[in-house]
Amino acid sequence: MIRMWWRAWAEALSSIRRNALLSGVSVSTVALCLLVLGAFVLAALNLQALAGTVEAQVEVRAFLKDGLSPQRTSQLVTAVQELAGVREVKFVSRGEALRRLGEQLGKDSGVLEAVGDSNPLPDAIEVKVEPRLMDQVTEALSAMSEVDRVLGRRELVGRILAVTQAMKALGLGLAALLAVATLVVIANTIRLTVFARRAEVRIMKLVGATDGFIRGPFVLEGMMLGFVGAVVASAAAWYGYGWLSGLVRSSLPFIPVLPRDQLLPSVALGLVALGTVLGALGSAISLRRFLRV
Amino acid sequence: MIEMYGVSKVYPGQVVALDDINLRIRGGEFVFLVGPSGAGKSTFVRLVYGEERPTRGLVLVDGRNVGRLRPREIPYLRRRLGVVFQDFKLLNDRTVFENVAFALRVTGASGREIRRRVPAVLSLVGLEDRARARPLELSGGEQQRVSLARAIVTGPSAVLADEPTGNLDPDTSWDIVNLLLRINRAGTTVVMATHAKAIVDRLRMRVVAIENGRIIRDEPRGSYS
Ligand SMILES: Nc1ncnc2c1ncn2[C@@H]1O[C@H](COP(=O)(O)OP(=O)(O)OP(=O)(O)O)[C@@H](O)[C@H]1O
Ligand SMILES: [Mg+2]
Repeated sequence: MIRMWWRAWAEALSSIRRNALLSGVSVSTVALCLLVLGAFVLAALNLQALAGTVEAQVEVRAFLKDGLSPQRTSQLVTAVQELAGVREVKFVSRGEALRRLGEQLGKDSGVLEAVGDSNPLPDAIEVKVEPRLMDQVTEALSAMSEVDRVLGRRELVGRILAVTQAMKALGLGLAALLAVATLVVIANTIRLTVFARRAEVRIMKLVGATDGFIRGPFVLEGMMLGFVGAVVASAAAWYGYGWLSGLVRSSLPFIPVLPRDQLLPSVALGLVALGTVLGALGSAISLRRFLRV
Repeated sequence: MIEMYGVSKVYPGQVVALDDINLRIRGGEFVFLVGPSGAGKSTFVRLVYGEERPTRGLVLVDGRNVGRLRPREIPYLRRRLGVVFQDFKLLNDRTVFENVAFALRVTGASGREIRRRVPAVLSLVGLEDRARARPLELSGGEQQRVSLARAIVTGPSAVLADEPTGNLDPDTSWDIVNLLLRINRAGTTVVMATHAKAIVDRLRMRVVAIENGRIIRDEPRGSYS
């Protein structure tokens, strides 16, 4: 048993050496396929995170009636917090609102001086909501006696939601498609390797080798090719991602990019596992035809 | 040990290679299979080691129906038979040593056993100093002897030799035949398909003559024609 294992490893290695050119082609193909898949997964994860942050920023603003006591205001805040779909509630006093306005206006804040001491802004609460439940929250807020008016940009939210959901569905579908395409390409590349050695397989069978005996080294070889290809793809993804995320951060700073150290180890691990499995599968599949002697 | 009852083989395209063959070869026999080119000698050999299945009839090796063996069982049939292929079937990217060792390896032999037996067979066929050469660096006759070495290295109970002297000069041919006779005296069944009239006529062993896929003659101490 151990001898068989040892032999399979030795055979696989020496076969890779004998078929160096074809092995190189296989590794490159595997690497390229997995790099495309990996790049796609990385892009999808980032888009999803981006959609997440956009969704997290959806908020409803409720302006309160004048003259509420601080007690009632804090009761109100607690009540709103209890509503389904509410993530966070923040009270913004009229003074705070004015100050913010001043900040937003910047050097034009002189306009505010015209207003003088009579602050025209009402107290308000800012409610961060789950986009799905926005309508419910808006309704509940409008029904409250303390609330004067509710402001929320519904169509905008609707559109954001549609986009992020489409993105998720599309991403999943595309990733599945790409994985299948990768398997086909890898199986076919390895078929070339097997095809180049069909005479050898035939002779092995004619002198009495069992299918398992022949398959062992081939599958191991496929695994090695898949593994090396995946490692190359992972390394390329590591450097490529670092470079691209740096580029995005410096030129499009408002787009959040997931940090490489947090994202890539798991993606790389996935690629390596996938590459190894696909390599084994690919050679087992392509070998089947030639074993019928 | 090898029996055929009503065996026919029709290749795709209605090529009748063997037609109603009935034959019994007992263990330890030495049999020449003679006949013109295209008579069906190679087909006969292929049916015995299970590369082809009979279209009709029964092929038995050691009492087992070869045509009905499951794919999983065929390797074990082939390990009990040593085959010298008419076209050698050597691996051109491996050394002579490796080509011979190959047949032992598939049976799970240990490295020590391989290092012991391969050189011994190579010197038996007179190729001990070509062990490191690759098949394409050898002459046709030398390749044929590698094929023979591979067939006998496992100590099979029968050797099927398909024109093992087809590419050899008379002297070397006799060396090969003497080698087969020696193996035969040690108890191994030998079936040798051949066109070598001189050898067949001289040895006076059992001769089975095939023509157009039929046995036209089967004599215990026969001659070529
Ligand atoms: N794989 C095949 N497909 C179709 N026809 C075949 C196949 N192999 C052999 N034949 C045909 O079957 C017949 C017998 O062939 P076979 O090789 O058994 O003859 P042979 O006696 O070995 O001839 P030779 O002395 O030339 O080696 C021939 O007519 C040949 O053309
Ligand atoms: Mg022939």
